[in-house]
Amino acid sequence: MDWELNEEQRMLRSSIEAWADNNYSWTDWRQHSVANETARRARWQELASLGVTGINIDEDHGGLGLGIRELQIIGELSGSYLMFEPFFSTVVLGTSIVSLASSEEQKAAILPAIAEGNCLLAFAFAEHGNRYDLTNVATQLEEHAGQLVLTGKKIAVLDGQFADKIIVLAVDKRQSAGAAGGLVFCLVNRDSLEGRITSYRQIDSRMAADIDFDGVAVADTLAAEDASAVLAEVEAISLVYLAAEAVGSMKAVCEQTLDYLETRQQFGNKLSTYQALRHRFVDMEIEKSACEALAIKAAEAIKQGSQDRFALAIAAKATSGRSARFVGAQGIQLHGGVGMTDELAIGHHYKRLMANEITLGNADYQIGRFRALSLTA
Amino acid sequence: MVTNTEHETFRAEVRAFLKENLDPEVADFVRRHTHHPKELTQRWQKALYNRGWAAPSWPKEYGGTGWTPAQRYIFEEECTFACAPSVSPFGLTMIGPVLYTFGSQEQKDRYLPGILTGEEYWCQGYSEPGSGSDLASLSTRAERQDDSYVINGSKIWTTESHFADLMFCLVRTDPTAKPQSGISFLLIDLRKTSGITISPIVSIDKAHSLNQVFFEDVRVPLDALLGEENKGWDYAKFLLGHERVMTSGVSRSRQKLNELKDIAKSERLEHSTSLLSDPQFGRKVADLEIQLMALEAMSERVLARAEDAGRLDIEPSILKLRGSEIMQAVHELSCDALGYYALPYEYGADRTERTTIGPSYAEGVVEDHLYRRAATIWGGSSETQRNIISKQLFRK
Repeated sequence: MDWELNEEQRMLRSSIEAWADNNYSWTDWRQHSVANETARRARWQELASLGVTGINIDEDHGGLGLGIRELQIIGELSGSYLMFEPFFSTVVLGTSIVSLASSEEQKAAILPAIAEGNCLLAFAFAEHGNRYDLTNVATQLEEHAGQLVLTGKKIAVLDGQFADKIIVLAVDKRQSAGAAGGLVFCLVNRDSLEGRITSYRQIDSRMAADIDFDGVAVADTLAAEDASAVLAEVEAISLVYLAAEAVGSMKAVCEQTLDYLETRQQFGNKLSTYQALRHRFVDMEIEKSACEALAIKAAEAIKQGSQDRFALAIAAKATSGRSARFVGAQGIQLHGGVGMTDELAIGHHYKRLMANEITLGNADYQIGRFRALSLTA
Repeated sequence: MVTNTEHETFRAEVRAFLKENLDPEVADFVRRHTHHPKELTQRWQKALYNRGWAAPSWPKEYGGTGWTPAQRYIFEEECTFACAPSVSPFGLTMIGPVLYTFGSQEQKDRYLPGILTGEEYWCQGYSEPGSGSDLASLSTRAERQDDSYVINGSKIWTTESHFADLMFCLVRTDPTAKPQSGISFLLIDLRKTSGITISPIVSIDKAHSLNQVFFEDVRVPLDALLGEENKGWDYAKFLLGHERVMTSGVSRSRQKLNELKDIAKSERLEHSTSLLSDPQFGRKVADLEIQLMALEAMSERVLARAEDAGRLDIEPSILKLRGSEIMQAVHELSCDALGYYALPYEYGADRTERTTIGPSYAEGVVEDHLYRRAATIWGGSSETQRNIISKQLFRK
């Protein structure tokens, strides 16, 4: 397998990195954190012209037809630069679900617009009372007088207030679903959600929303016969993306911490000369390396469609959660007092890593799932 | 916990005081907020003062209560469990003991009453941008000029200096001597002294409690000096030793662990079972509880030893070190318990108003967690504490 990026991947990385260098200086970051919709849409258009918004959309629908490794490249840079762009919500979750669960008609209606940077998606899956379990949702889809209607409340919908369409994960309670009543992906248009979106800033300064779907009309349901199977694939892709994002943030933390240790002096010596601190930094590097290697391996398994892709994805997410806690915390600790300020990036990396770990389930949760998988194997 | 009838009578007395004097709204505010307004802290201090309980750890002659270590422990425990406001530490546990040990009679008369009543609020001018762990390297300069000290320099991480009345400040009075031998202790009235600029520092929790303080040709009278000139480091060491006995934070961690259990009882898995009943999560709580018991045992032992022997070597450092790590673990697990509701973090522009998203028991949990990332940094970082302990343990 290819551990290093190939030439095209390196070029892709360079072009996004160059864009990030131009748009995500630390001063820029502060401005972006005050969610200005016009500026955001403009940035997204630029990313569309770089091919990023359609990176994993097939060429027939206006995308680049690339895959999981390229998503990880985006994720890593998103983590390093603490980006606000809706890569995860639109490109990873949204596009993956639409690509895997839709009819040709549905794909044609949505994917080109995403590739052009004109359509943002969000995926509403989490519920209060369900913690991290993706499949055990209480939100229901029913049919009343020919209308498809949802009942339920979703929480933590990343980029929910910006989405043009929201994909809602629900249990299918329609008559036609019969006794089976499996999962279904429902498409809801933004304009059906007037007054129902409670949006808020997260610890990492990104925007999310709690959305009340009680009585909301569903525009369409995605065609997939087996939504659960699609969900499992999308989850694996997402876990591996999030692991890469964590790696990106950890790389920035290590870089900034190394710089600080080699600059700051106390007791007449640079901090980097103290063995205890050197060892601590080494531990940070090791955690980051372990996480990066497993994330790449898990991506490869997804790319190959191999049987162990789910186990690997879960393991990668578990590892990134655990590594991130240590690396994020030590990033602050080794900076001392300045690590506690809002001014420096290091604290924001800590908060982004916290958010990253929580998304789709923290390390403890993933370890539990891994165990469950092992027991059934 | 040692309990006998006397202790239980005392505990009942403390509870009765709390019931009568602690407003439930105040307790609720304290439970949900990391940073408290000055007035809230002062009002509580006044209530304690009126009861004669302003300074449980001070000698009776200076307004102390004359309690045994067990009583002091019970008092702190009950106040913490009731979510009473924490007292401002700078006056009571820091400058107060230094004043009554090393200050002139005039200074004692002038400053001790205000600390006891809470009417005068103190802050601590110690760390500098270039002097954190290596505090003795501080360079804020105080030069004798006629009947004043003229101060130039800067202090940083000065908690609540933006609303404090007074500051105790370590300054360099002899730049030619060895660093520890050229430091003096000054008492500065922030209300009456010009040339001081206080600049807010927003912390990782988006709150404003920290500041940087700039001194530009600041004149203070010579009687601002506490004790002898150039002996300030000795007084600072005395203060640090004193401070650390108080900072295992065991009661606070226990209270937060109880709040964590409340969260875990309410949070659900699979829309049915409670998080607390989940074996995996339950084990983590139990593990922390056991660690806390060990910390509590160490704290009680140290408190008893402090009374008898007077001098403590590594114990204060052990308590601070372990206490801070356990405290962080409790906060971290509390955030874990919230699941996705650990994510919302809305702060209004003035940084005092917040919107609570999600269940009400989530309020303040993440703020506390974020702010207490500093627990292993302030008061002597964990690295510093391990050095202090090492120096005592290794003989060669």
